[in-house]
Amino acid sequence: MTQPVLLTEGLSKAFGANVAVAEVSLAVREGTLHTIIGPNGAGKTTFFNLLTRDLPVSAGHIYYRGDEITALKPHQVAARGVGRSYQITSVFPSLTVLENAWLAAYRKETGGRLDFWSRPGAYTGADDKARAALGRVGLDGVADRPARELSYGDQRLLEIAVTLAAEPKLLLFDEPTSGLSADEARKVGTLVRALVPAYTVVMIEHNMDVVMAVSDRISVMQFGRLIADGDPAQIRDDQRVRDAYLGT
Amino acid sequence: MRGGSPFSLWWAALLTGIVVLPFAIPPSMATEVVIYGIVAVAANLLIGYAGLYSFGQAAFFGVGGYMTANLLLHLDLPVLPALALGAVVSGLVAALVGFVCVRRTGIYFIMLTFAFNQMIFYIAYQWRDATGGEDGLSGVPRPDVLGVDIGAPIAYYAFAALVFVLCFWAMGRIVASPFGRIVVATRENPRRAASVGFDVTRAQTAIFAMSGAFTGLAGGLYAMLYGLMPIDAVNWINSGNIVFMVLIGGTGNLFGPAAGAVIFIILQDVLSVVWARWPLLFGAVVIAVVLYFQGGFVELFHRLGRWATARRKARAR
Ligand SMILES: Nc1ncnc2c1ncn2[C@@H]1O[C@H](COP(=O)(O)OP(=O)(O)OP(=O)(O)O)[C@@H](O)[C@H]1O
Ligand SMILES: [Mg+2]
Repeated sequence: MTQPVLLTEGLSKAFGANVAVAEVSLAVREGTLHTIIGPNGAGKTTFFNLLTRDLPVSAGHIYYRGDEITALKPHQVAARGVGRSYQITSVFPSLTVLENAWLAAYRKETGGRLDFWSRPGAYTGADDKARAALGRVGLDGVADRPARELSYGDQRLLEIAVTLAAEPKLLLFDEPTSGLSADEARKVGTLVRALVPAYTVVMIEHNMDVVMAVSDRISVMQFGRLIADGDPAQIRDDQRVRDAYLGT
Repeated sequence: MRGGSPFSLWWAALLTGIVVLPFAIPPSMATEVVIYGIVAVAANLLIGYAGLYSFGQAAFFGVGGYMTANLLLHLDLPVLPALALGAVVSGLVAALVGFVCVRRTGIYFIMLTFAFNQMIFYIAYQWRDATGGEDGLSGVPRPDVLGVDIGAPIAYYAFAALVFVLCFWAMGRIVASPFGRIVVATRENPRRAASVGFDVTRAQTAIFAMSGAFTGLAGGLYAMLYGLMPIDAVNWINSGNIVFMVLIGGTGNLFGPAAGAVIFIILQDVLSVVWARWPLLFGAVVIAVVLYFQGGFVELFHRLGRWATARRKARAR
């Protein structure tokens, strides 16, 4: 078997006495769509926050393509090729839709160079990448609108486009369909599925229709722990998962 | 640019103002306006664009001022290299100060910049050889610039105004650059900026250093204005004044703070004669601006414009 793209060993996070993530050891294979499910408060978002170092790790290790990245800073994790989206839409509201995606593409193109003299338009490569990402989620029509003027659904799509524009190798999506209509959710599900196997995707998701339809592998979290791991059919039949989460 | 008018109109207003100013008010006061114009616009790189409320800008004004003054006094350096070195040194000091301060946010950031201001003030106060202590550093010469005599008040105004325009243009390029966009991103959503892959601390330190360099350059111009670099220029009160100028003018673009500098310098001159407690009034104005006119003077202008158009339309009907 090939080396996993992402590997965690005993990864833990405690907020005081509250252990939000408890000794999670998880391997994500290259070119797969790996979904994490679990009840509210299970520690899924916190797990992502550890991977991207939005939060410091309490214990355990994170490896990306065999290299330990546990001690890196968020921007260094991103520079390695790990991109993420947020459960609560997190964009740059006063910048236009294109500028939002452009920033991510520019970082990828230049490594985040602090060019304080050129015009942004001089970076045509970043422009192309940004427009391609917007096209992918269908936001090319509103490229010049400030992000804050977008509808909620479109902001969710922009959230994804910004993540894609940096062309990461490993994508972490935190509930990309949250708050979307069933129709929009299906569209996003299709979109995320189409990224595989060119990209490796880890997705936190509550919408079980989407999860069962698109996942290669599913991990289930409860009370900060991984309680099950398998392909969609195995998870559907797993008694612990049914008890804990599916409620049937 | 958040302003509604086209960019070129702003520039036309700015250049007209620069030409008219020395005829409307005494040339030395007009020179103070353009010097503090640089300072206020540089402060807005931090306040408006980076969202960093620096209450320590006077420190960099002082570092640049003393540096340039000493180079002119003791090394007989020509004006342009003396100013440039003043800018570089204050930029370096600002880089150091910024590097520490941007590690904290909000009120803690403000307090750190304030603390550094106090520190630099006391160094200036104690280091009499370099700063003249509380008497200030006097006898700063004003040699020719590239063979042109800038001794006369109006000639010096012309020189300072030219430096202002160049600085203003340069800062305009900076905010319109990729770096400028990154800085806005770190203000709006630092966490997202980091997860997209930008080193937020580095970007903030860089803009802090740039702002400090422009401020220091202005300090050098100020030292040559009256041939004196006073200790008051480094005082935290001056930092407060700088923030006043920015808030009163408006933080939405670079033109607002320039207007803020005009308003402040003129009001200070007029009011300090009639009423010693005039800073009280300024405090009240700032509160009003923060509560009702977040866009500052520029916003007021827009609102009046809209109001006038609405009235005209109403009357036409
Ligand atoms: N910054 C924080 N400080 C303190 N406690 C936190 C913090 N972030 C999360 N928690 C706690 O950690 C636990 C896990 O939260 P987390 O957001 O990771 O859950 P989740 O699985 O993403 O839930 P949801 O499905 O509702 O998004 C919760 O008990 C939460 O209150
Ligand atoms: Mg969550």
